[in-house]
Formats: sequence, C-alpha cells, structure tokens
Amino acid sequence: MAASSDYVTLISSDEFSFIVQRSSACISPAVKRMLDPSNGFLEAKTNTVRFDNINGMVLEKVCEYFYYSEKNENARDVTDLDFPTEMCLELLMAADYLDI
Amino acid sequence: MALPSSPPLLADDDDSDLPSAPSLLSLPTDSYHRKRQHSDYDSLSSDPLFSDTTEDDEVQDAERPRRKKLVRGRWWEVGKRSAHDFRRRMAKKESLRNADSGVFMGSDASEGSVDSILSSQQRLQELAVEDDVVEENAPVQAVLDAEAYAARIIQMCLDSGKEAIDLSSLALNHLSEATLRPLHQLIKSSFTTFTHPPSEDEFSPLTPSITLILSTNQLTSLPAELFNLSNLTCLSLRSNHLTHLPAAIARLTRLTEFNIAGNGIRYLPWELLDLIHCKGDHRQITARPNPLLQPTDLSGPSPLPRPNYTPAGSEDLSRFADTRETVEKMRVRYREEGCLNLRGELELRLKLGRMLRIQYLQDASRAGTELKLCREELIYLASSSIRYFGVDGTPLRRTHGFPPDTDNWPATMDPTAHAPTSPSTPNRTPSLFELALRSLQGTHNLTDFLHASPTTTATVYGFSPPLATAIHAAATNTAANHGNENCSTCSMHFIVARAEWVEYWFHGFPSQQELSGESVLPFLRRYKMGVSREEPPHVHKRHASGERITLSSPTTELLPA
Repeated sequence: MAASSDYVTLISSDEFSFIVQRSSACISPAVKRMLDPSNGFLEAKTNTVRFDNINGMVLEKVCEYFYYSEKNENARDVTDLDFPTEMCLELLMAADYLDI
Repeated sequence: MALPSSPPLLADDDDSDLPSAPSLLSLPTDSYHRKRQHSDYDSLSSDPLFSDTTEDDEVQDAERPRRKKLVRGRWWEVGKRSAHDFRRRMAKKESLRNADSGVFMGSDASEGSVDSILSSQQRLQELAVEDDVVEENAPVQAVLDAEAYAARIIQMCLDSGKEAIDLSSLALNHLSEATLRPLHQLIKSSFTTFTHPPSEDEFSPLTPSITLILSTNQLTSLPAELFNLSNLTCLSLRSNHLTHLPAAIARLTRLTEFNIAGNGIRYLPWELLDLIHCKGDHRQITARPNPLLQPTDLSGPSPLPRPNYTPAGSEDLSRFADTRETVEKMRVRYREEGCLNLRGELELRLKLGRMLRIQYLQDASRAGTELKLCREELIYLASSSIRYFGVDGTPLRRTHGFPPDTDNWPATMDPTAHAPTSPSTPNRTPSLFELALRSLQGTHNLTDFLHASPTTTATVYGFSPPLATAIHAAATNTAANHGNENCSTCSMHFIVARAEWVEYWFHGFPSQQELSGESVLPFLRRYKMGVSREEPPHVHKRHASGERITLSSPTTELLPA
C-alpha cells in the first residue's frame, strides 16, 4: 500500500474495517500521531489502525463524527450529532481515548 | 336469712369482670415495677450496702466546683444530659452489683424476680445506649436547628406577606433548596389596615420585591433555588465563606442591590457584567472587600507623566480626530520616554476607552437617539493569558515560554501566547466527548451510580481521572441544579470548558482619573469550543455581548492582533 494514500483503514476490535478519508481521521490527534510517518509506527506504513478497545458500532459512530466535524468546520448553529443513548458511555470513553 | 346490709352478690353479672381486669394485667408488671422502684431506691440511697466507689466519686465530683466546666451546649439540654448521665451511671452500678452478688437483690421476691432484675438492667442499658446515640447526633441537630429556624422565619414572612426576609447571623452553614422554595409563593400584602376602605393608590401589583439578607452566616455554597427567585431585588451575601459565585446569578435580572463583600471570592463570573452594566436603572453591586485578582500592581503613583490628563477639546474629537491615532501617538511617545510598563498601558487603554465613550455619546446625541446611561463607566482593560484545556478538561501543554501563573491570572499584552500549536479540534463543532457527555447527562440519572468523589468513581469503574471528573461535573450540572454553564462567547451550553481566562474591567466614576485597585473588577470567562491560534476566542466577543461593548468599550479594537 502506498505510504500516504488519501484513505486510511480503521479496524475495530470485532474486525469491522472502515475506510475513511485521511484528513477526516486526522481530526483525532491520537490517530494523527499514529499515522504520521515521522513517528515510525507500523500504522503509518500500512495506513491501517487497529483499535482493540473500540467495537464496530462505536467506531462507526466515531467515523460519522469525523465527517460531521469536518463538514461543519466553520458552520454556525450546527445541530448536534445524534446517537443511541445506550452507546453514550462507550462513545465517551472512545472519545477520551481518541482525544476528540 | 335476709341480710339487707350486705350488697347483693352479682356473681352472674358481666360487669363484675371489669374491676378484675386491671389487676390481672398489673400482676406480671407488679414485680417488675417494684423491682424498678427498688433498684431506683437503692441507687438513690446515699449509703449502699456494698461500698460503691462510683457513688463516692460522684459525691466528690459534685463537691468540686470545676465539674461545672464540663457542661457544654445549650442550657435547656444541660438538665436532660445530667439525667442521661445519672441513668447511665445507674446502669453501670447495676451491672457491678449484679456481678458482686445476686443474693442481695433476690431476697424478697420469687423466681421471677431474677428475670425482672435482668430485664430492668437490660432496659437501663438500652436507655443508656439510646442516650449515647442522642448525644452523638447533637451537632447534626444543631445544624438542622439553624436551618429550621431559617425556614420558620421564611414561613412567618410568607404568612404576613413581608417582603424583607432577614436570615442574617443565624450561623447557617448550609441552605437547602427546600428551605427557599416556599419563597416562590410569597405574595405582597395588599393593605394592612382594615379601618378604612382601600384608597386608589393602595391598588398595586401583588408581585413582591423580595429582599433576602443572608449576611453574616457561614455559607460556602448557594442553593440553586436562590437563582430561580426571579422576584429578588435585594440580595446580601455579606460576610460568608463563599469562594466563587455561580454564573446563574445573571438570572436574577430584577436585582438592584447585591452585596458579596467579605467573602473569599477571587473573581466574578463573566455573566455578572450584564448585571453591573445597568441600562439606565441603577444597580448597587458591592464586590469589595474580597480577595479579588489584580491585573498588575496598581499601588503607588501612575507611571505616566500626566495622569490627570483629560482629553482636552473632547468636544471636537468626534469631528475630525481619530481617537485611536491620538492614543497610539501617545503610546509611542511614552514608550520613547521609557515609562510605558503594563500599568501605563492599562491607563492608556482606560483613556482610550473614555475617549471612545465620549465620542460615542456625542455621535448618539447628534443623531438624536435617546441613551440610558449609568453613572459608572465600564471599560475593558486587559485579559490574562488564556488557559487551554483538552477535550476531557485536562490542561494542555504550553508550547513555549513559562507556564502562566496558575493562581494569579496577571494581565498580559498577548493573551494567546500560550496557545497550543496543534489544537485538537480547530473548529466550532462540539467535541465528541462533549456530545456524548451531554447525551449521557440527558438520558441517565448520573448521581445514582456515581460515587462520592471523582477519584473513587475512577477506581471503581476504571475510568481515567479526567473522565471521572467530567462525568461528575455533568452530574452536578443537571437541570435541577444550576444547569450547564453557558459559553461566554456563543452562549451555548457546555460541560467541559476548553479555555478560560480572566478579563479586567474598569468600573468606576468618570471623575476618577487614576487607575486604582478598587476600581478594577476581574471576570472569569470560560469558553466552550476547541480553539486554535488562528482564531482566538475573543474574536466572537462583539457578537456575544453586543451593545455593551460598542457603548462603553471597544474591546476587539484594543486587543493585539
């Protein structure tokens, strides 16, 4: 795989993979650091990030947030992203981990 | 045969059962009762059969005068307590005696008497234990008493329709929501004397103007219910132990007199500026004495050569001169003279603010618009450096320079100097962390499964400490409480602040030429969104506070680009 393609793959703990734009995924400083070639992580070489502590459903929401955040970067009065209530705590912990 | 003197036998009469009933009942208690009396009698007798050391001690104690010093508490409880002590001592003695010999006690009674001795002893011990519990609860009782007293005063004011509620000097250290809640139902008494028919001017609205005096208590926090009392016009919190003032104070829009003197408050909430900036109606807000923050050392004489300088010919300022240019020229000149330190800069800003204000007023009067003005000027002076926080509320690392003074928030020329170079979320959308937290707050009753402190919650559930702190903040900010804080620039709710800084505003009379420590008020502003160096938060200042800024202080223009 090319060293810096436009898309990166995020793989959840239950082996769901999400292919998202690099610019969107890099909204998360944690993901950005992992994918930075200068840091020399394996993730940067393969353009793939594995999350052993985030399951597929939560990671899907996280990807949705990536795009939502990028799209509404300079918009005013943005409606809040909606998600199921039972996922709140898991999302909260994932957000804490990803620093978003 | 006939015996007229004797009453007829009424053996078959049902009523004959009645007198016997009490005696039947009294039989088992009889021995018990007698025993009780007996033992009481024994303990009261000055001369016991067996030499009893406790009794002697007691006598000696009674003779010593310093025994009195041990009596603490209120006078009406002293008698009660001495009775408790007496009973306890009796119980102790009883057990001692029982250990010595059972023969003495069991001399005159049947087999049941041993049981009765034991039971009476148990009873005494129970009593003693009860008394102990009561004594332990005594301080709690005292706290409730102060608040119960406050509740009674409130009830009395409610009954008589009195608008001034004086709860001062009650040694209150906590005020609950329930105590204040009845004040919502307060209705002003229409007219008090019924001797004459009500005249015309006695018909007035029954909406009260509540005066609530909570001065000289020991309050450390304020109940949320206080800020829902929209009819409050005068609130005194003088001489309490408050350390911060909640932003919800801005909800009390009818407030005309507000006193927070003599507390431990270091900065005021940004929202209070709305109250201080009165639009015509005069508000008296007393914020001093308090250990309020100072932008810089303001003691001593002004460093500027002509502190008494008033913009001469200010009448024609609006016509041709550009005020900013004038002040810039002055600034350059002072800098060359070498007397422009931070304080000099603040004085220059005050001058510029005043000139702009005059200019604005002149323009307004020329245009014929009617303005409502308050006597005090409110002019922006400076900000402290901005502190940035990560998504979960942890302070972000400083990129360069020394970390700013964490406690004193000194004013600085460049508030964004310590902005992180790579902001985590450089846009205005709320972070996922914030969104999830808000959703969690809205759908779950967080207080049910949280522990007392964030650290215990963190260890029990395996959260990281900042995460636990954030969840605790969400739990305490619920609607029942003060609610979430508003962002001071976009007025949206938030739980985790991403940036905060202190702004210093001049609040004083136009006649006051020199900048002094008494006329500068610090306001803490908290900012919700992710921030970047390219877009510092105070850019939005103008749209957030609207008219005030344009009237009295050209904030954005004064800030360094």
